[in-house]
Amino acid sequence: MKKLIGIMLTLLMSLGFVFCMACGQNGGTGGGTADDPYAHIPAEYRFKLPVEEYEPDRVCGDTSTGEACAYRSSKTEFDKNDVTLSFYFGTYFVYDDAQTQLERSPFRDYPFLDLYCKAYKPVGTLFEQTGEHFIKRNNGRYISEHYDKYKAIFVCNSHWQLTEIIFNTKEVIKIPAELFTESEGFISFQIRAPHLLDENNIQTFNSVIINYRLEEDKVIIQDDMKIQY
Amino acid sequence: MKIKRSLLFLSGIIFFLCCVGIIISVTSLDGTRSYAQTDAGATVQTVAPDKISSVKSAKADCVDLSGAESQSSTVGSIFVHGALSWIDDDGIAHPLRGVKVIINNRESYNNSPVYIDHPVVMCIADDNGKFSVEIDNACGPLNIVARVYAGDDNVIVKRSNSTKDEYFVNSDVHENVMVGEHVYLTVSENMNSEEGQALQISQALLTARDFVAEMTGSQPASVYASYPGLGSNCNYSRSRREISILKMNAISTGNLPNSYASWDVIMHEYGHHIEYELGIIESVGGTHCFDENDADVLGNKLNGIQLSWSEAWATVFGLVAQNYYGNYLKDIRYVNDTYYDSYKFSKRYDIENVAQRIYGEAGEGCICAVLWDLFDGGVEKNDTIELGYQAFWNVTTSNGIKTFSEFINQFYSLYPEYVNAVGANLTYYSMASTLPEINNVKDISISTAPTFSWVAQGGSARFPNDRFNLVIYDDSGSEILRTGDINTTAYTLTQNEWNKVLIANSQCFTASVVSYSTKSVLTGGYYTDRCEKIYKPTQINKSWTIKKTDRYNEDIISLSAGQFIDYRTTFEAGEQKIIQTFGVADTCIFVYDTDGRLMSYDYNSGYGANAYIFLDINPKTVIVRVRLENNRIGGTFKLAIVNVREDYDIGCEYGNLNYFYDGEQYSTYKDCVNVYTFVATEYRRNITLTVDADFDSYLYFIDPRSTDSISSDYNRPCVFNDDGAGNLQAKIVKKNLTVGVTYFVVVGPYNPSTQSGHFSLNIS
Repeated sequence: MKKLIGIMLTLLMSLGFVFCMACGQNGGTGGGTADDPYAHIPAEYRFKLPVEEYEPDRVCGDTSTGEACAYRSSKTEFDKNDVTLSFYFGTYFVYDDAQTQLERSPFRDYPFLDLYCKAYKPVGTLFEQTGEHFIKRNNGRYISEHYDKYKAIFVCNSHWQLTEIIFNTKEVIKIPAELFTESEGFISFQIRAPHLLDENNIQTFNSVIINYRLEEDKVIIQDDMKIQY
Repeated sequence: MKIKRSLLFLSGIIFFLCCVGIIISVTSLDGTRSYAQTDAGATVQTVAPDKISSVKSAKADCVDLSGAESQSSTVGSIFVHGALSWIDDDGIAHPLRGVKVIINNRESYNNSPVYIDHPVVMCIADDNGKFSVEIDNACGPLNIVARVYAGDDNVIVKRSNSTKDEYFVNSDVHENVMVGEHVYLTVSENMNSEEGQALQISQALLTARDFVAEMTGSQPASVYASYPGLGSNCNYSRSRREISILKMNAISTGNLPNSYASWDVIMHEYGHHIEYELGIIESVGGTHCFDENDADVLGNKLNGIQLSWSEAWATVFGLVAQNYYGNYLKDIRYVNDTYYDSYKFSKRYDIENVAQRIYGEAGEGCICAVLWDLFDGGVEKNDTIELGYQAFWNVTTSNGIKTFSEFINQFYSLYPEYVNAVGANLTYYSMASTLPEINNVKDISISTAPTFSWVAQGGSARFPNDRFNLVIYDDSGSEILRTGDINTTAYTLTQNEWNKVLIANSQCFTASVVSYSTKSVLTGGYYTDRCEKIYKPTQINKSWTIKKTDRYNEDIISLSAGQFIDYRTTFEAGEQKIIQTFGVADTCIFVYDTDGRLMSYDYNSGYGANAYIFLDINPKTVIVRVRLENNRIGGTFKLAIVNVREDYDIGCEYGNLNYFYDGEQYSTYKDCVNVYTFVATEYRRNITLTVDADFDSYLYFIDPRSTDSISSDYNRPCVFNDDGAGNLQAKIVKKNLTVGVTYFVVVGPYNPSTQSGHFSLNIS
């Protein structure tokens, strides 16, 4: 079982994509210091990332879609009926102002952003969905109306390696108890942007995984924080 | 003791394989050495040969390498046949093509779980996933088991563990196979195991590798893939020659391939390997999306255009390779189409119809679209080019190009005939500016040059196109004019430039814009397509040649309001020319060289409102433009051109309109005629002109008011005569001349190029 959890952990930690951006390019508004231009931003919104050893001839990863999401918790053990976590999400916008960003990426001005929790159980080397909970729909245009809300700051070092992601928005979510059906499984917190006229046409997507273990009525999550980008 | 025995075993088996050389193989392979763990946990050792040649017949020697007793002394052939397949996530079986298979003889020790596989034969599965091996001189019986690898010795999938074990799948064991027997093995692996997933990954990699080998004629450098890859994405490490493939479900929508089935991603990463091999990559890393401008994202133009090129080429490479092997891949979902399908996407990405086309030379998706359209059979509006596999390969991989800008310039040099044809796509995907438009198309005239405008584009908010050249072409697509650098998005041709366009031997002209982005590194120039043909302002074009043998040349033409005519005139000989108009219309003449530079012009120096030009030029081509001075009205005129020679010493008089003197001796000069004027008076209204010469003379008498063509009929206004008095002398009789009118008289030999001499012109 431990082996299985390990496999799942490896698998799920790899879910996502690299999104290295110019250092301090996106953000850096007043309140910071020379050493840390984002010092004014509350620590809970800031997610430091492990930085791999720099390889000059390593080609960056496969093509990305663009969103980032994360969760954070002050504890790892919960009552099954009260698994409440803080979720963070956002996207990297290339340009400093919404107008330029909108002009350059009008197709990304999504009308909705849906939040989901989906439950999965391991099957063989992969996994299978066991439940789903729709959390909420955020209305309002992604760039033209909520640029600051959805704008995440991607901080890079001089080698274009991503070192930190800083979010601007947070949702505190209570995960329904009925999603915890397996002795071991995971919950995927997902952000999805459906097309205005076609709900099945998902324009962008990402998710962060919460691995859990169920012991009677207790849910024990593996990590107290995780970020996916 | 055990160590000693193992060493003996290893050296023995290496000797066995190297000496006997056994094998069926369709390709030459480098040897590898690997150790693997069986699924039962028993230790198995496998030693592959260092070098394996392509021999059809497999031979094995009856050598007891393990020290175990041989069960039989019978020597002969054993035939092993195999059928290999992998089963995709849809449950569809596909042949396992091109993978390495080692036929082992399995020996166990006294029914213990420990066994040793003795490699007997290695071969490569064919395109149907099959192999057949004849083991000659086998000492049967053997316990035959086939070990099927996820790749071959050039491309192989390995585990991500520290020892990088190669993936393989064993067939069932056929025990006690006797000499002369045929063994039929099957291996069919689904995607429920990492071994099966690795086999599918190998199929994508081998497809990519084989395509490179086909295009280059040689095997590329070896590479391996690690699976499940570590980290947060699939990538390629040059220093390790390692492709890392994540293990990940496509949980976003359920409609896209899992990571191990994302052939587009896997072949894309292999494409990076080839880019390094070919020296067409200079990527600094950083994120990349299809629909962003990487120069803007990175805030660095050079890094951005290098990144976007390397990523786009790798993507298109994979799709082109799949297309090349389409017959083999047609039943595999997400493969051999125009979509880039990734396990991490929420939707398919169609590079044939890239939706976001504003990102230009640093836009991964835009470059993909242009490259794909160059390759494929152009059926789209903006795509009329089909390079095909080899030409596409050659033009995208040669000379170490590392950016789209470098690529397009190489493309232009190799395919100059496609410079404008690819322009439609370059505009569509924002590398080039928009097509030039003429803002004042209704107003352009001979004296009002067109004003062109366009949208800069370039794909970047930070590094847009900011320098341009306007190129004008004639009907046939030949370049007439290229402007200097323009730093705005509108331009009015100068009068000289416009003249050059107008005098070009073409009824119409077209235009394109060449765009550059000069901030940071210079990129471009990107040609647009040519705009629609534009007719020159009511222009008529004619060409004629004034020959050495010509005495007098004329052309009569009527122009409507606003029209003008350009005579592309080539002079075979002579230096001085008289170019003049006759008739009653108010005409003017402009003479240009072929570059559009004005050489001479005249409005009213001729008779009445006619124009008259004396021009001193060597034999060459000039443009003689004639129009009515008032371009709001039409009219008819005659243009006349004669070769003359300015040489007072020999009495040759011409364009100063001097009267000739009755009976005075004159001379003609080679290649020339003499021109005089005669003014009719009350006393000289009816005249007879004769030439008394020592050569065969010719005589013209021109009424400057007339546009009538020259005639031998003395009653017509403009007449000519060859032989008059005697057998050689020209003579013209004219009656009822108009008093005060200055008539033109041309005297010359029958053939000015061969005849000249003295003459007198007599009037009575």
